[in-house]
Amino acid sequence: MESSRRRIRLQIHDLLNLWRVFRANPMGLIGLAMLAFFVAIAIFCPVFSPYDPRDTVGEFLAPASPAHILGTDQLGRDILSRVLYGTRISLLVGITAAAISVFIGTSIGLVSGYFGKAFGEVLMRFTDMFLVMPQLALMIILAALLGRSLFIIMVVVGVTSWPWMARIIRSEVLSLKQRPFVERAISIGCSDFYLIRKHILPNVMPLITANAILTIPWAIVSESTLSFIGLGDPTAISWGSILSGAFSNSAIILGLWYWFIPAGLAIVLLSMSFALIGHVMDEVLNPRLRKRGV
Amino acid sequence: MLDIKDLQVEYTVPGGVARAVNKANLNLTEGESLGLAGESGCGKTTLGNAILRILPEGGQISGGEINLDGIDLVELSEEKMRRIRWKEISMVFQGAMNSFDPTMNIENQIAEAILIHQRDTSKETALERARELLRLCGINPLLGKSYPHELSGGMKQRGCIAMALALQPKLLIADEITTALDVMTQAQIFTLLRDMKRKFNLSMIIISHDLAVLAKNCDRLAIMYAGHIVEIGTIQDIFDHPRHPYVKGLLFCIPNFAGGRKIIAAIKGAPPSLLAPPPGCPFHPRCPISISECKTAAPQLLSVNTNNHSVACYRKDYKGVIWK
Repeated sequence: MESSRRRIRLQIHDLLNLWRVFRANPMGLIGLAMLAFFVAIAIFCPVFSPYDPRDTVGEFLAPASPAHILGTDQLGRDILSRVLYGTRISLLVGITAAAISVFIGTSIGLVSGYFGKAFGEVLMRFTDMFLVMPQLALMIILAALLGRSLFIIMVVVGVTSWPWMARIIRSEVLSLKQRPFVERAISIGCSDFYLIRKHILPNVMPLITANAILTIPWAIVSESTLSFIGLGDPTAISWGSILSGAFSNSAIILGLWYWFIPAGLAIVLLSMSFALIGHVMDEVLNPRLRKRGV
Repeated sequence: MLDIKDLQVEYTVPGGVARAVNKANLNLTEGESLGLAGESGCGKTTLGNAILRILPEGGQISGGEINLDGIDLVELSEEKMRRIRWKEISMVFQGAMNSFDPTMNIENQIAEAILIHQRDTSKETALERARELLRLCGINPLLGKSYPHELSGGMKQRGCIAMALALQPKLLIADEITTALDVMTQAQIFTLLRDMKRKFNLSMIIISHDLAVLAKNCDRLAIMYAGHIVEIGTIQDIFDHPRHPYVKGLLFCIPNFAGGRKIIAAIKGAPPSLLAPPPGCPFHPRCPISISECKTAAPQLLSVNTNNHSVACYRKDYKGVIWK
């Protein structure tokens, strides 16, 4: 009891330390502020949005006006409300799909890198198989085959984006395995599982974190892509489906820029916030990259 | 205490099988320190790694025994061996600079060894011991919280020694521990090692190619050549009465400050390839006094005095001048 309480206190202490390093970097703070902004919108969009995003609340294709700041779409739904609600789907799909991808990629990379030999080779050929298949085509086929629900979109994006992660992790593990400190850990009497957990994993952690955070924007864009070409969940309101609607209703020709610019900008800004955080996290988790005196 | 008999270690490499240690015989009593010298690639490190059974991929012990207090380590299961590592035999590695995990602070890494072997120890107790060990090795215990990249080379090496002593092993293997350090630090590290040896009644195997360092820090010395132990004896015996032509040549290469100016002769040629060693004595192609016997069978390591001074050479009684 006592020792577990102490352990919790230790972890809080570690987290505070990480935050102290993170705080020192303005780029990370900007990214974090942008992300916080989007998360706030995702949580509070029922409060912020003027209308229900699914209801027909005005004329079809109404231009921007005080009643509908970004106008309405081809079904007379309020575009601003739809953009706000779209944040939820993008964040949800982005994070979940990235988590699936990181989990598969890290497991395969660690196992094939650490246990090597024939088993590792088989795993890598399997990875190569996934790697050479064009991701977009694979996603389209899987999404079309499996159906059009949000859950399936997450799985499809997650399952198609892990191979390069597995390769990166494997090559890092292979190089770590040759380091003297791993030799020392083996000679101390560490078991394989202990060694992976305590020495290999923490050393690839910066790589995993940075890649995980960079996979999120990729997943967000993938979801938008699938929605844009009409393979997304038809009931879900996402930025991709807004763009898809704008495209199929000639918003560009009609000059309805407020229909597609906000959704596009949202994709860019959300992706950018993750990219900024990813960059700084790499520094925070890798003690050697830290600036002196922090 | 440690008794190695006819130990053979082989590496399977793309070009064939290299015998890195060939019929090595060694023994070590409690509290004794043995130096292991020889040129690069002669099998010193391999012999050290073989004792702990941590040979790199492709390497295996293909024969012989390593008896530690009567238990043959070669025969032990991996699980039992894991329990012996560090508890009975520990090692300070070549290039200790990189022996610490960069993502863990050093007191945690020293405590790790204690926690793995003594499951019932609490983390606090283990950390306490780690700090005590650091203090013993001349590092401020407050620095235990530092990460490896925040310490100097000498401090890291001290940390490695602290780590090696964590479980109070009987035998410590020190593999080229001062190679990357400057002379001052080198001297300090060896002073520390001698203190610790006295304090814990450690037996040590010190692997080095620096004969001066070994002469100062060891009781006995073994010289290796191309995987063979060619001569073994006390420091006095080896330095004052070397018997093997190779050892005589090695000692002849040491410049003498007091002894006036002379040209130092090198031993001509290069060590043989371990993939295709010459038949018989591995040194015969370079040996000026080799005889026909040398080319057919490798000489046994035979005792030449009551002091356990042993030499593997057919011409060990040759009294003439070999190197000039």
